[in-house]
Amino acid sequence: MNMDQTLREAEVRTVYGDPASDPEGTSALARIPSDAVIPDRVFDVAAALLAYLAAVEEGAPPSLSR
Amino acid sequence: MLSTANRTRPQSQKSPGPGASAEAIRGAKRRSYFRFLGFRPILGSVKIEIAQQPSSAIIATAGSSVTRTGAVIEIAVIRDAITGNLLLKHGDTVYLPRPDLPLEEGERWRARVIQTHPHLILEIQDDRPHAMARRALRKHIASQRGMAPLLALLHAHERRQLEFDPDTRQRLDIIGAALPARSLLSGGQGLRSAARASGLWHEAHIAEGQPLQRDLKAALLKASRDLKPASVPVSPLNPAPPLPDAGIEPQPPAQVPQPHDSASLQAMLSAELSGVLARLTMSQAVTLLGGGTSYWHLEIPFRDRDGPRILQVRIDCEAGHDDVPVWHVGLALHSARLGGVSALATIHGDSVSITGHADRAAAGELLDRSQTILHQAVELLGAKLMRCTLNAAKPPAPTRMPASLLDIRA
Repeated sequence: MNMDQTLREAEVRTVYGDPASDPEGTSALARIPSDAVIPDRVFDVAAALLAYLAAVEEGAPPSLSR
Repeated sequence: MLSTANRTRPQSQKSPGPGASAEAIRGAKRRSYFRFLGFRPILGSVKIEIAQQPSSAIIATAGSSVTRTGAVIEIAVIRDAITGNLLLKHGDTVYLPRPDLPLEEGERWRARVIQTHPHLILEIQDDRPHAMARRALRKHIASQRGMAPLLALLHAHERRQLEFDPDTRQRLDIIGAALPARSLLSGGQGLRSAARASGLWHEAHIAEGQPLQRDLKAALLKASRDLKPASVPVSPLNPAPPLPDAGIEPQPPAQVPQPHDSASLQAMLSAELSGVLARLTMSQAVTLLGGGTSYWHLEIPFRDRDGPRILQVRIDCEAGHDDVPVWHVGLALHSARLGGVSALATIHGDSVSITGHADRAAAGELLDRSQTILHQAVELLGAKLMRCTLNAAKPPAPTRMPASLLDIRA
């Protein structure tokens, strides 16, 4: 099958369907508020937490996996 | 169900005026609000007018309880047990909407009273996306599945542990290409871009005319196109994790039972893809219902050294006592060495507080002993870690729960 072609079809159908024929509400989902309103600091702190967890995992003794 | 005792049936009903063509009504559906025109509830004298084009009419059929212009009232969509018509009900008053309006039984709308005399005009406020999101939740609540089993299939394919047919391999490759590397998540901008590509904003990006090159929902849709549904019931590889509205919990990896023939593997892929898409749509609906511009729920699968893993993220915002917004970001992750770990960071200006919990007691102690790393990382951001408890007895309390979700389970 032509994957590129079917992707475009799927996207158009889910986003631009008429509300009456869009029972999943996917056109409504297009209105999810943008991530742009989330300050950088929120992602920075979350990423710091993830980096910390990665560092702890790296140094964790194998016995912890049990 | 509506009782006939509390309303009076309309004496007559007419179609909208000639200006209200099918095209005009379709146009009305595309608008961000719907305006209804109602009439004085005088029995035996029902009149229909069209206020402006495009518009749709409703007929008041009993004594109106609406008396004040500007009031916001709640209207329920109910079904007439006798005629089967969908009706709008407010107090003891029932209105008959035009059948063209895409309403569903059980929906509740908020409407502003625009005019009470000489006839009643109501304007339904713009919560159409919410009604549609609730419908999406109701549809997917039973079929949603966690992402771990799908990632286990992907991992087995990439490690060549199972024999997939070429078509299934191609589909799994599409999903695999959408996963970011863990290293990307260790920086704020990288984490933001991974969040953007998590599929949560798939429709939003397309609506803006800026679809991403790499988007998980696009990949899942692409991988599931023309995939035959499983012809026999497929047992879930893992129990489904909690629903997206029930807080975030680490999702451990799933095990793929072996061996499997290629047909059953394809059936398994079909079932898991369908369940994951349902869950992703639920996450989107939860986000949409969760508070306008202040709540997001994401699941970000990523590649790690030992295989694909899932990061769950919940972000919300509330007003601070000093007008500086307070942001909460919750994370949940399962690691082979640490087990399940969850954390909640609260950010208020330059101040940061963190509470963490590990399912394994030894892992919690290790996290607590390693606090210095976290203090240093936060200070590098120019922030101050005011409070840090990484060995909490219980998982951190979930961030704000969208109360509207409670309606879905009813």
